[in-house]
Amino acid sequence: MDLWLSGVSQIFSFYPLAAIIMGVTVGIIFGSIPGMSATMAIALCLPMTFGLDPVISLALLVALFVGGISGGLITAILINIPGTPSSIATTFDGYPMTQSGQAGKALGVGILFSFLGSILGCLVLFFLAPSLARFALRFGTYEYFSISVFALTLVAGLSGKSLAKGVASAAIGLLVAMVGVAPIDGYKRFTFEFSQFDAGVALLPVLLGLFAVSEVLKESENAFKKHRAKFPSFAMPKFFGISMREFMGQIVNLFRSSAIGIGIGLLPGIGSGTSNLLAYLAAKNSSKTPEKFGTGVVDGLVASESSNNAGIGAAMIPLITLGIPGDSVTAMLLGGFLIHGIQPGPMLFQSNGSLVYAIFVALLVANLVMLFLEYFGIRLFVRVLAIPKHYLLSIVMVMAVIGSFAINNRMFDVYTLIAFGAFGYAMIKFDYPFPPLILGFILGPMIEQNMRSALMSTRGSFLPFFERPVSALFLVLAGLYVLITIWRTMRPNRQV
Amino acid sequence: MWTGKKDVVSGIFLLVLSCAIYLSARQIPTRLRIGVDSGFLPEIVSAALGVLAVIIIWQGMRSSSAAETPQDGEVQSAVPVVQSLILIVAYGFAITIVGFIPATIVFLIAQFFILAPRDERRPASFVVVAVIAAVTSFAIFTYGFGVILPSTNLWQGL
Repeated sequence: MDLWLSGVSQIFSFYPLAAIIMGVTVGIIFGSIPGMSATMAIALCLPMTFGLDPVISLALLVALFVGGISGGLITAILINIPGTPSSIATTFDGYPMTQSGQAGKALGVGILFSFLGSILGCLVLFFLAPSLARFALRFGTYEYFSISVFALTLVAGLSGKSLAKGVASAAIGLLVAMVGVAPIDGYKRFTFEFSQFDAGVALLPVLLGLFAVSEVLKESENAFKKHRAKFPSFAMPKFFGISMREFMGQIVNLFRSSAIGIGIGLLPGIGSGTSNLLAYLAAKNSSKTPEKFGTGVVDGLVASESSNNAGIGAAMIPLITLGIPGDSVTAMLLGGFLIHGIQPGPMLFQSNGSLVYAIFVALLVANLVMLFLEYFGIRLFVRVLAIPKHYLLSIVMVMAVIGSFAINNRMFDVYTLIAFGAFGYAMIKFDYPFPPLILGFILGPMIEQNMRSALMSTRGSFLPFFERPVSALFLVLAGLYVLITIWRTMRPNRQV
Repeated sequence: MWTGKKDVVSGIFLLVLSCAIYLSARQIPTRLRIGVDSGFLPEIVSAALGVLAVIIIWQGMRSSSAAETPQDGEVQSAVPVVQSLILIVAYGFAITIVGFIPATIVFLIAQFFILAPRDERRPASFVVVAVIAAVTSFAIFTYGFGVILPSTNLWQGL
């Protein structure tokens, strides 16, 4: 209880609250513009946090996360273009509602159930994270190595269409992380006698290059096309446009969809891009009138929006309790922790418990701010969305350059940004997913450190990795996942 | 580019890269008797990347045998991408020569021209937005966040 009170007192002061309002606003804008995302918003705002207090910084970053996920519903409902993959299913019934003159109701319902789904996800985080962290205190080098390998395998397999490309992307991330001074013995690797590489490749230019510069290059492809969408006129109804009877009728749908979002959010690699589609399908399959789905029914909208937002709290669980991010957004948040010298993991609850609870409170406040900003400020966001994309994307590029330069005040990081931007664009064109590379890059030092420490203590034997139950479980799960994926890939060919 | 061809090209690139990294990792001297030294993981990962590259090439060769057609407009859409890439590289170097504000103004105007559809190219608006964006971002980061952005003597004080 003391920790909760400490969290409340830290967040309920001017700067953290201002950071949350700013974060949610920027997040909604980035989440609602196709081609921009919560990941990009967090990457661009990370440099701003260098000189800030960790509580203000992390409040800003979680607010960006909340805004970025929920913002996707605006364009999904109004112009049938999901701002983020997490709002794909929102278009199925949201846009038909707009076409039938119910845009205000669709937005109201979407916003309300985004909020409710998010709160359910947060509750799971609040109750599960402390117990999981207490359990994780027993973990040693073997367990951390195995869990990291499991997370990386899952992300590699689920991020793209091809397992081989996903794993190759993860391997590239691991290799990039190996540049510079090696852990344990301090040997300089792959520096090519270039002193700028001694400290390794900085995290932020890699993230900004992959998520901002490459995206701008990708959007450049559409430069010849007209891309200004016309937004329909609408009026926001009272009480989110939903009657008490309609609301009560959606309770089961809300809990089922949120449970799907939470379950998927907990697992590495899948994310809200899939959970909204699964929740939509589950709602359709359990409906008495499945034929009405896709014609503008509230049920589909509730399923999509409550599931994608419920994943926010769940995705924070492995990050905070184990220090292992499950997707690109949480990888960015990990970057935010590391910039301030904070290592997430089970020890964080012991060493900096008040900060953890400040993050929890910030999440709750960010959700409330999201509810109010989206409901009352929706017209303002629609106006921002009408700003031509060539202005926004060009300014994103400048922000990426400033952000990369600001880490160490050196141009080398700007050149790293450009190199990874070009490399990221090539990855997009050749269908290689980003998340495994990012996760490989971030988890690389952890994997190597733990593996080498463990192997040194066992004199080179891998057997103890399979003698400890948690370590063995995760390694077996990773192996099984790879085998099942290969089997499923090969199966259609046999049928042919 | 065709999907199969893409896989073959990217697979060959990864194969060459993995071989180069593997050979480089082999040069790392062994300091520990049990062999778990700084070269251990790079060797394993680069070797795994090589194997994956071969699989990707094989998958690409299999799928390129199927009837595939190149996508329309690929050449046309590549022009602004190349222009943007050249521009960002030039911007990266120009910052150190002329300073942040002038380089950013020129970069933004040029980038607006590349990204905007022809009928939305308004030079006067571009200049105004570029100047405001460059000066505002310089002011926010320099005075608000304490980031010292590059500026030459000529432009100091802007």
